[in-house]
Amino acid sequence: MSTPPLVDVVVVGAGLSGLTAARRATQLGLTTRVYEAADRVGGRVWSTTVAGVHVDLGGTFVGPGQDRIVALAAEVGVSLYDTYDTGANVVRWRSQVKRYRGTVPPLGAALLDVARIQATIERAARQVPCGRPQDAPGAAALDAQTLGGWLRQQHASRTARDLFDLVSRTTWGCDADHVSLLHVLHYIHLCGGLSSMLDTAGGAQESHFVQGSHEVAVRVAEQLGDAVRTDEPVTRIDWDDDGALVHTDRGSCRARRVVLAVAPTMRRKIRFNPELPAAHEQMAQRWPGGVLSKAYAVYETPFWREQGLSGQGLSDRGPVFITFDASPHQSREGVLLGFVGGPQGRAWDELPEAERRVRALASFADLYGPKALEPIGYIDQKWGADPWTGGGPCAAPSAGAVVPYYSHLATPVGPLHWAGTETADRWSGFMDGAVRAGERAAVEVLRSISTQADSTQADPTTEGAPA
Amino acid sequence: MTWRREHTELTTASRDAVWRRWTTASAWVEDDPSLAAAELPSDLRVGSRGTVKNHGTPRQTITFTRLVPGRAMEFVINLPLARLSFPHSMTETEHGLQVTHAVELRGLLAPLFGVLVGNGIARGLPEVVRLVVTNALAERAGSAPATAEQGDRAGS
Ligand SMILES: Cc1cc2nc3c(=O)[nH]c(=O)nc-3n(C[C@H](O)[C@H](O)[C@H](O)COP(=O)(O)OP(=O)(O)OC[C@H]3O[C@@H](n4cnc5c(N)ncnc54)[C@H](O)[C@@H]3O)c2cc1C
Repeated sequence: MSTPPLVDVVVVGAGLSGLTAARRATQLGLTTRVYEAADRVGGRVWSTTVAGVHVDLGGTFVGPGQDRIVALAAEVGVSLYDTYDTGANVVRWRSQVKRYRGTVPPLGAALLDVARIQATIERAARQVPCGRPQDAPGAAALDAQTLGGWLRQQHASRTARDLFDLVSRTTWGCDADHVSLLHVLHYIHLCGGLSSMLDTAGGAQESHFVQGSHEVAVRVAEQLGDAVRTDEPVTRIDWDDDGALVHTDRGSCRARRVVLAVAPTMRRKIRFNPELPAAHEQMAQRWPGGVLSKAYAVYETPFWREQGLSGQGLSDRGPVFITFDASPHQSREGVLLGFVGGPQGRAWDELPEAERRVRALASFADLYGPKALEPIGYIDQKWGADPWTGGGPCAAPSAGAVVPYYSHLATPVGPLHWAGTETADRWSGFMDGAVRAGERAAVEVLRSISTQADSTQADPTTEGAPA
Repeated sequence: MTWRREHTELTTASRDAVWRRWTTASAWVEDDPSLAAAELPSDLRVGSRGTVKNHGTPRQTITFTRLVPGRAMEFVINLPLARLSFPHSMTETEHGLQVTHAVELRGLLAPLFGVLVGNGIARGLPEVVRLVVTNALAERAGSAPATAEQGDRAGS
């Protein structure tokens, strides 16, 4: 039997994080191999064409402060354009449809309460140290409750609670009752506040990519060439302090270091030998991915613009609860993007394709009128059903799952290093976080290999990587 | 005086399947999480009486006032100085079948009962209509009916 090849670093997962780690490691002079379980690269970024129009099925928007994804995109020649943000937004709330401007919809007297809750959350978020939520004052108590539980404790109005459910669904893919308050506060702090997280102009939805976010992943993978192996899930990793032997169904590869750039819950699909410390398995169980789906309808023109509407809408009716104008750059077609998530999202995901389509279009029509029922193309993407990304948009740890496990997300175990957006120290959960985490992991690996080389030189009895 | 709230879903479910759910007692309990029990006569006709029991409340008599197979159904509950009715309708459109459930109060005390009981019922309408059409679809596909838990109660 031939000896498996040896590389400096094997990267598990060719999402934006893994690809960035491999790219940066290569730039740092390390040899790499990337294993990707799916038959394509990109993970939670993916795209397709509907009625001749490009649409992003996963991660789409970027905004100010997300400079690492923007820089990576620029390096591979993928450009940005502004999200359409002209005209009035529209909200359907308690059966009434209203137009409004800005991020916060006109919800009558309840608006004051929403502002109170928002200010309280912002203040509390600033108390949570970035990258160390477990060290926040009162961390255990914050972690012991969910965002929903806390809202009730604050006597938040029903409207404020419903509104934060929508925020929670878009951001974590679950209702406010299912996500740790500590995680929410930490996440918001990592984004620089609620406004930069939720706004279009000046916020995380400000722009999107002309060629699509998936194209960034595709171009990085092209540059990495043969090093990237798709359709090859990593099944087992044998490791010791000197390195690892990474197994797939097609063979194995020796590596001085491994970067695991998969979603936390996906770590469970890999067998480790010896086993990882127990907290790792528990963390993978208690940091599940959210459930968020996307529906796109392509129209001959962006007809809502003629009505003075921006295409940004909010609805308490569902199944689509938030919409954006995702029309292509400098093209005549109009595209409405709708997010479907939370408990309604799970039920919608189960429906046959034709029924999902009818219900999503009915949601668009609720906000933009009957023309929305007549698209020239339609597609939806159910991330909760994706076998390798573990759902989306990102992990949603439940109450009590942050304090005991956060430190295990990114701390290396022997030669095993961790990447993926959830491990990022800024914009965790976003494409930018994925890129940051990949860059961090590559540098970490280089340091670790250099340190080992130094000590090997100093100690002539030490041997190289494991067989 | 009339007080009315309604909810409409657009669906690919068939008229027949929706009609069966409207006229089968066991389906009422599956499609409306607030119902503990429902009894309907087997040969439904205008004037037929049945009973419904919501969780934690006494059994109530309902009377069917409209039955147009594949199109419309309505039943009423009489309250002191008000009439609580539940008009159901479906309309075929070029985009799919529109299924509407409404709650209506008529009479002197309609506005009062609207606040007391109507709003609560109206809040549950979206979930009920979605369960009706989802379970009507499942009937065609031959799978188990959806429950409120799998279903889609918005908010907490
Ligand atoms: C619907 C939706 C909307 C979003 N919207 C936005 C947005 O507008 N803006 C934004 O910034 N972000 C958005 N996001 C989030 C963003 O897409 C993610 O944060 C980012 O893409 C995560 O990248 P990643 O590399 O960390 O993880 P992933 O993309 O999940 O990559 C992990 C990769 O590992 C692979 N893998 C898993 N297990 C194995 C194994 N055993 N062996 C080999 N490979 C394996 C997976 O197939 C996957 O390709 C959205 C996500 C979704 C789902």
